[in-house]
Amino acid sequence: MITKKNLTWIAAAGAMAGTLALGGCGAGGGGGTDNELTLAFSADPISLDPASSANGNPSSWFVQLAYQSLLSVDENGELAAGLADKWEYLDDGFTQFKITLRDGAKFADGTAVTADDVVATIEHFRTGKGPVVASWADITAEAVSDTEVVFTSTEPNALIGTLLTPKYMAGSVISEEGLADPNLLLSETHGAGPYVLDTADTIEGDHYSYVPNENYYDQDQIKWEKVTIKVIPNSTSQAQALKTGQIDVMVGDKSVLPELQDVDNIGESANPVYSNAIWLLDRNGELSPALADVRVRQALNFGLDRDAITAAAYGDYGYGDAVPATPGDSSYGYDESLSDHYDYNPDRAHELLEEAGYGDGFDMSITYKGHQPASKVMVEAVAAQWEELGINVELVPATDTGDWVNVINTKEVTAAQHDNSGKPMLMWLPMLMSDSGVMNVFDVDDPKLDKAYQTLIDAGADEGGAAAKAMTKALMDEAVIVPVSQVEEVYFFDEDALQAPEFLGGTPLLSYIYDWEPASE
Amino acid sequence: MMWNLILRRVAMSILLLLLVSAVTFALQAFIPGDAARAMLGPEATDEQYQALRAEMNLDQPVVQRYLSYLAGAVQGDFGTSLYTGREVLALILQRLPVSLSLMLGSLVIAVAAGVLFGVWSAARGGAVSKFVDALSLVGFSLPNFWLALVLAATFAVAIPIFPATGYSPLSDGVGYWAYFLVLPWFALSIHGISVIAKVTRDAMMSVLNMDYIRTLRAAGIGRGSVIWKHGLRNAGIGISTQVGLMAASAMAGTVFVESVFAMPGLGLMAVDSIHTHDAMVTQGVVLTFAIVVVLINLIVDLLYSVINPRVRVS
Repeated sequence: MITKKNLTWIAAAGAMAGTLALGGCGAGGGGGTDNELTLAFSADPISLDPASSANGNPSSWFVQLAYQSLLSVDENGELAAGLADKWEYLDDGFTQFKITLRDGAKFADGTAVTADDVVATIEHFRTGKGPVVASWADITAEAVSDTEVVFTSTEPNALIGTLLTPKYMAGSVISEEGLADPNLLLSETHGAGPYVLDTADTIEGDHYSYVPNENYYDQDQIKWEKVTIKVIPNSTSQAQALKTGQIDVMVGDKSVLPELQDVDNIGESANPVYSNAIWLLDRNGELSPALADVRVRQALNFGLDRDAITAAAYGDYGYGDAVPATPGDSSYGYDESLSDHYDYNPDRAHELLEEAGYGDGFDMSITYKGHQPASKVMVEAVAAQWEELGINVELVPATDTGDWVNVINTKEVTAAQHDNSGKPMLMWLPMLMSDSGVMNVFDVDDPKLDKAYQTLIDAGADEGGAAAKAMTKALMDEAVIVPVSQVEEVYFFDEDALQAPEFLGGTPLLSYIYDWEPASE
Repeated sequence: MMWNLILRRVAMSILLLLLVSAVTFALQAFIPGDAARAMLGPEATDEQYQALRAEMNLDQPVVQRYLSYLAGAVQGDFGTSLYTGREVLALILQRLPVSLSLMLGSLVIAVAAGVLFGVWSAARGGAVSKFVDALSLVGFSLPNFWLALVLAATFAVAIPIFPATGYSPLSDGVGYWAYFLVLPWFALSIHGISVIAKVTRDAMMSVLNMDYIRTLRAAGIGRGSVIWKHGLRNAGIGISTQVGLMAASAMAGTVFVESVFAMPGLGLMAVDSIHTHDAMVTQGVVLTFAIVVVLINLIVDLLYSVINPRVRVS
């Protein structure tokens, strides 16, 4: 007989079953149909405003989807058409660069993209708050016709075109409506890209939905009916979401490999994207006189088993490399022939230290980015191996990048760990070579480096590759940096949902997000 | 007398919130790095960095900035996010339902399940009591971050019953809302269930051994009525005290659980804002946590006086 007590339990069980039934219809959400792409990213976008957004994949996804850049990059890593279909330097000194907008380019609101919009956008970038602002300090833009813009740099700059590609955001043209009230750019998109942010289906901190831009000039580029970026902070949670079909793509590392390696439909695509290294700041020997001697710095390079350290820190997603640059196009300066220039040779390291008079070792200190677990492992391994040479290494952890810069600026550390993302040398060398560069805090004067740097600045696109390699050689001969690992960015993706994303021409650039195609195509 | 109690509690709460806001502001000032450097990255020049710091008023003394903040806060202006420019109050109101769903739901489950286990254990005694004791110890020891990951791996991936991540607002349907919360609720409530079960069991065992309980049974009052109506009422004092304490730990727990299940609540916003040095947002979230905990404890205090009339009199 059913009693009152029984009824209570039956009702509770029924409520639970009802909840499961109601909720189960539509379980999983996201990563759903063939024509919808869902990606995971670990944090809210820094900003939807291209001028304030972080550069580099994948954080640029939020902006890339809605903002077409003036230029793009082809499969070989060379400049290609974007909103502009013609571009050239006007002088041999690389101070004036002209672009011509293509016919028919429109913003999502239907208005035409004009030269005045480009100029206004560049001015917005010059006065912005993002990491690419530094690149625009010396460059101005002027509209010379309705469709032509000339960029003028106060210094020779062979990379103006590169700055206008998606990775560096600045070419992401913003409409007049967006620039009229820049606050709109924080929660809406006002670009001319293939998609537009669907604010009605976007929840900050949870997911950002994009739908096709009906006014995009090349409708064939639009592969998806909807693209969603889900914010999932925890990488293990991302892996679980990928396995259950809630998402189609995630950026991973070795920590999620055990979760994903045995899953049939999960593929991976990896490419080196940054070089993690120890930068020797105190080359004047103010804190550690030993570091002023190039033989000591070379000994530090010979004293590292890079492969072993990299395996410990990055597993299969990195490799040891003594070259202080990342593989990419010619402007990256990577020279594969130099990768064994400082092969692990502790005997040679001891010899050099003896010659320099530091056979008994010396003291030094390294600050590192403590919020990067793999960097912590790397730096600790480096310190342990240098201790075998008699070098006493003090490790100074920084809580984040800001703290890391502050520690360096105290001039109380002799070296700094830095993960230098792959990009043209001229984009990162100012950090080391300019008077106010954070890696030149001790104001080191090195004529050999200065000469190689000036040659690189003066070289054009044709000679730029050779000059970049020469700069790399100079950095290695002077042992300014102790490179340890080439680190790969790894994308795990659902092979049933989309085709493998490809890295462009072996560069650190992944195919643009809107080039990713459904598996069915 | 009740009004006196309320007024006293409210006055103390205001002082407490002032203290929390001041300590939070001061602690943030001591965190190395700032929003200007986080935005510009390491490649910006020192001139660019200093210019942005000045624009954001980060170059002003901490006390001056705090007094400015306080002057705005008392008028309902809690500042804007340094990154998005959105008003902090709007951001908090957007995310509060998520965290409240998680926290209050887990508290309800913790109290309901904890009381059931505790009463069962006290009433049955013997092996049942020892079993509940052991379960309580295990539940109390499990870190909720680890438990959240294990639950997701088991009941979202290995046995795909529930979603691994996400949140559905109430406006999309109660069933769907609860469906996304089952695993997070369980992860957050285990600790509370263990504590409440133990407190309930201990309190009930103490009460059930009292003379007046034996008198009631001798007078023919049913066992169920003796346990639930008479025994539990007296044990309720300890239970309600624990609920007040658990509210604070539940709020803290939302930080981990929201991270694992990718729920867009205040906990996750707190983590993001601390990483990016978005001081106004951090300040707003911490204050909101404090207000919620204070309110819950105020309710508990009032409940205490309802359960125990002697508190009202005193």
